[in-house]
Amino acid sequence: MRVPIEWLKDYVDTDKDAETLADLLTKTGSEAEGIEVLGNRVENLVVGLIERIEKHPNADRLVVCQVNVGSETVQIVTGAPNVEEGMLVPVVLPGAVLADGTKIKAAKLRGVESFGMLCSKEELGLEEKSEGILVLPQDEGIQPGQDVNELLKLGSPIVSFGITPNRPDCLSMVGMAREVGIIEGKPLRLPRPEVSEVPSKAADVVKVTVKARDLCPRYACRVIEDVKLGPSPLWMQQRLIAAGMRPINNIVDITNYVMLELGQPLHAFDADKIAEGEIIVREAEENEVLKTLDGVERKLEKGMLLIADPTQPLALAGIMGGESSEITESTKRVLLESANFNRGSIRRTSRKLGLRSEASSRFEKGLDPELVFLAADRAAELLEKYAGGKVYSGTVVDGDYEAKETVVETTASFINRLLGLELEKSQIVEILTKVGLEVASNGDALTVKVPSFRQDIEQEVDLAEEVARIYGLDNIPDSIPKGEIASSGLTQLQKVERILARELASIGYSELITYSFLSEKRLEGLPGEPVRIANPLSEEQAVLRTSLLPSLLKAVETNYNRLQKDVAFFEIAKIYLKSEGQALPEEKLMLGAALAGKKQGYFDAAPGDVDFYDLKGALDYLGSRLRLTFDYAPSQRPRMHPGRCADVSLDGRVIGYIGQIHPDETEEPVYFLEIEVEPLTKGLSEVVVYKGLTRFPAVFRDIALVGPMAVPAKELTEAIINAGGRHLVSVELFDLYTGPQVGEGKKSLAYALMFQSEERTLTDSEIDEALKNIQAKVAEKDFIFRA
Amino acid sequence: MNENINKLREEVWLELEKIADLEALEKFRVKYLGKKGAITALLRSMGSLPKEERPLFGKAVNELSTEVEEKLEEKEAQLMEAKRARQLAEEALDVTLPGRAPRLGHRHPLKQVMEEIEEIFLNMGYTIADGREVEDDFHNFEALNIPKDHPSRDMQDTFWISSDTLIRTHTSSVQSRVMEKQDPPVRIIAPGRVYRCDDDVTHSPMFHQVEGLVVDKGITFGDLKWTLTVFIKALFGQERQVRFRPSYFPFTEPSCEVDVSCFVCNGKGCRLCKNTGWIEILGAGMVHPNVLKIAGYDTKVYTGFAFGLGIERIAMLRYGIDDIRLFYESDMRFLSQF
Repeated sequence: MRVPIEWLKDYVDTDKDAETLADLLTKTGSEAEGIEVLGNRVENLVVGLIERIEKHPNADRLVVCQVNVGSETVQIVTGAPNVEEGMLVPVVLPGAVLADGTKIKAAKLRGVESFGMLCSKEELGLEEKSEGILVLPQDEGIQPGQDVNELLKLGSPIVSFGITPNRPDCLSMVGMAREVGIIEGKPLRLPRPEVSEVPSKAADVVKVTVKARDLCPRYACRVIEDVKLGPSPLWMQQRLIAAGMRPINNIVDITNYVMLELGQPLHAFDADKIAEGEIIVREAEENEVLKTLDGVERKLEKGMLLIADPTQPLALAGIMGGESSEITESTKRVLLESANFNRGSIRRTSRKLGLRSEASSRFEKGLDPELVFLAADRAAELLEKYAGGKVYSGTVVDGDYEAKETVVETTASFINRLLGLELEKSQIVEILTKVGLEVASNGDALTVKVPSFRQDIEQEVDLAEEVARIYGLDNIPDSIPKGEIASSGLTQLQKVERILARELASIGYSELITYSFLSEKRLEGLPGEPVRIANPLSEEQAVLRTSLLPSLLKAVETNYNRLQKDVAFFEIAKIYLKSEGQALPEEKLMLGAALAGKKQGYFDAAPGDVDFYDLKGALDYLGSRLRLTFDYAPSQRPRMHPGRCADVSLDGRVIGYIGQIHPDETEEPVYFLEIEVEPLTKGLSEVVVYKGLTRFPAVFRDIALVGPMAVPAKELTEAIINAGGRHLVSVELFDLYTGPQVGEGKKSLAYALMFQSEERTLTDSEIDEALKNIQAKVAEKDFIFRA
Repeated sequence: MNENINKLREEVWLELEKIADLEALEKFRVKYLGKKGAITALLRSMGSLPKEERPLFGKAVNELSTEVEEKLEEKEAQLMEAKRARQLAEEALDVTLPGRAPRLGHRHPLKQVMEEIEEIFLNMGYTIADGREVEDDFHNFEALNIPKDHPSRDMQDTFWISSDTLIRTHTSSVQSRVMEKQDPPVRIIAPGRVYRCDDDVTHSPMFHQVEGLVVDKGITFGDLKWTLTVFIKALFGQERQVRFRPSYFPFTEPSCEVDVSCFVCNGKGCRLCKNTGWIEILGAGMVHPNVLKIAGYDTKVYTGFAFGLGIERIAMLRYGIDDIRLFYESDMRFLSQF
């Protein structure tokens, strides 16, 4: 809401400057979002009367004007296409500097002297692009030599306020003036329209029937005859521009002006284009069609609120008029609509049609039905004054609106208790009275009558808010919340999430946050049907992800394309899985990680490529940190390398997988894992019990086993552990060899074994016995000890 | 005979002087002190002396022998030391070469800010609540006093799944979930992802918020002010000023927005604060009684406050980031700066 301060002062007296008002209104709930000034103030800018125009002797496109600027007549050369003798125009005289830095000085233009410049709206900062110079009206008593800065209020401050949706009453100059009056303790001057009605009666030519009585509590119209279409007065144009609207013609401008002034949107129909002079307010039929003022044919749905005549729809109530009854040059009689519409209905229709207007954005917040007559009269007054209209007597009305009194009961102590204040009851009464409420008090109890312009006040807390904002939020003392603190700190899941993120970052993985939605195509091949967004911004964001794979893969690709090929990423985020019979999907927290490119290299060691075991090592590291041991089993997963993928399980339950993304999908190998986070909390609750350190020496033996390639290392390790006896305390694989020395289809695995007893020193024969058992056990898997 | 000794002594000293390495020193030892060495030979030659001269001669030779041994040890120590010094010199490294640092991993800037906020509230006794992202209309809107057709639904362009389900437009939905499950006192924050149909330099269709909710007996607006002032100062610095402005949210009444004095210009006015000296940080208010009622809380007994803020906004302000999309693009050149 743009508020020109000079306009505001029509309704309230204040000597505060724009900055101070902005600050005071911000503190009471109307947030000032910026202060600007109207147009560009220019020195030596005066009204000039073009007395004579002659052709320029040396240039076809230029003319030489003799311009009366009050104190003298000066010669000005101009290229403006629209100058005529007798015109009043803004003139900048030498010595001035325009907003764009142009210095105005006496100069010769193609050999002819020129002492100034005629200005367009563009040069005065009043519009983006102007065709010709600004022509000032003849009939408003404007004299040559008058200061144009004053005339057009150039440089006058405009404050933009963000008005919260609960305060549609503040979407008007009067509403904002009322707020200023509350703060300053000054009375509000409402416009008191005076209309000199002609004897013809509006009711004789117009009939209003509200059929949709729920959706239109009050519909009023006035009829104005003999209107002459033309520009609106300069002051009105200037105020509209200042408030951010473009002047169009006197009739449109007047309806807009009254809307900005009072907050009540109005609509002007060409009364002679309304069949049988009957306005019907009704709901649209399915597929009814209306061509709105913006030239768009709109197909309507049942239930949309329409203004119609007996033959056709005329306007979308509260949103936009229709072309068929539009005001034109030939309009003789205007039917001026001032009505109140149900906010929900306006909002629904406006959203469904994707059509918003200044009017709809006000109606959908709920307007005061009491404004209807005031606004109609005010517009009638202005049409009479500035469009030469004759106002028919009477206002034609229909609708069920009845002024009803809203009364809210509260107590002074409730307000104090909620705000943490200790105000006297009298202070509270004073504040509530100031904002325009009628307060009766009885002991602690307050009975508050709410005026119709404050439709947002319905409950006790609304009154507390009024007290808070006028007393000043900054004046409410801070207090430490009382009550017991029952915090249990982080949950197990939150703890695990933090451990995972910190540990992964510490071993070189960088954390990502990627969109939860993606295109369905990128989930191709992965199991499960994704949850679909009904109104996505694009196909790229159409479904919720069922796996982190596409997002992490995309991150690797993005960086690959930007020549950052060596990456290690992780993301801890939810995936969304449709669950049978449930309205809402299951949301599962997952850890995803991706690894690609080279390992960290050093000046003396060329970096090798990362591989499966680097990523697996990271996962095992996380497992150790969380006191968990993962099991891995070869598996086939969609979009994964068939020979390089393992299911990851914990306590016999598969919680995810790890492997290489199928090489068909990637330029270079990308390793990926995705596991559920929730199962990882298990280790956190494990109680650690210290085990005594044995004083008996450990015995170390290395063994090498040769056997078939196809037997997984895990099986051998398990065989060794099973056969090694109770003194075998550690088994480490330290070498893997394949090659000519062991023969084709074979591999050699070297293990470091450690034996130790807590009771005694082990003898050689005991160790040999254990090794013999191991030898026998691995032989079952066709592995032999290698010397 | 003593002449012989003196001569030998001179010879020994001269030779010892010249020795420069341990090998030569060993040869020298053998030459003089070895079984066939010169000094040993002198001793042996004692037999050929008259008996009365022997003790004196023997003593002189022994003296020489001891002297030589001492010098030899001394020399040996010197040479050892020199050798060690040479060795160490050879081992010298170019200490300016880069170290073999493990690869550095980076926490996401949004997560860093989020955890910082979580810590502040954990220390104030709050619990972190988790909530659904795919929500129903009831928990995201209705239970928060935002009925259908409420104008503030426009402020939050919603991604719908169906006519009744959506992806949450704010973390405020966690308020209704928590109050549904739990009786007062409530003291939670709820960080997480939220979604709105909006996509430009300052708006992302997915972003993050933190919601806060406190409900207990006798909670006041003064409590809200204290809590948020402590929080904002903890996040932005103790020297910052905090300003409360009345505002509007459907689920709180009275409502306010909270500004922090600009940390670039200290309130003098600059581009960041759009010359106002203040930067808007969060929205808050006393929980609307309608919301408490829907949750089944006794509004005669319980009051509360709630607040919400956007993480991206805080991170953008803090790090001077001007394009919100950078957070989700996963570009290492961006991520590695944090």
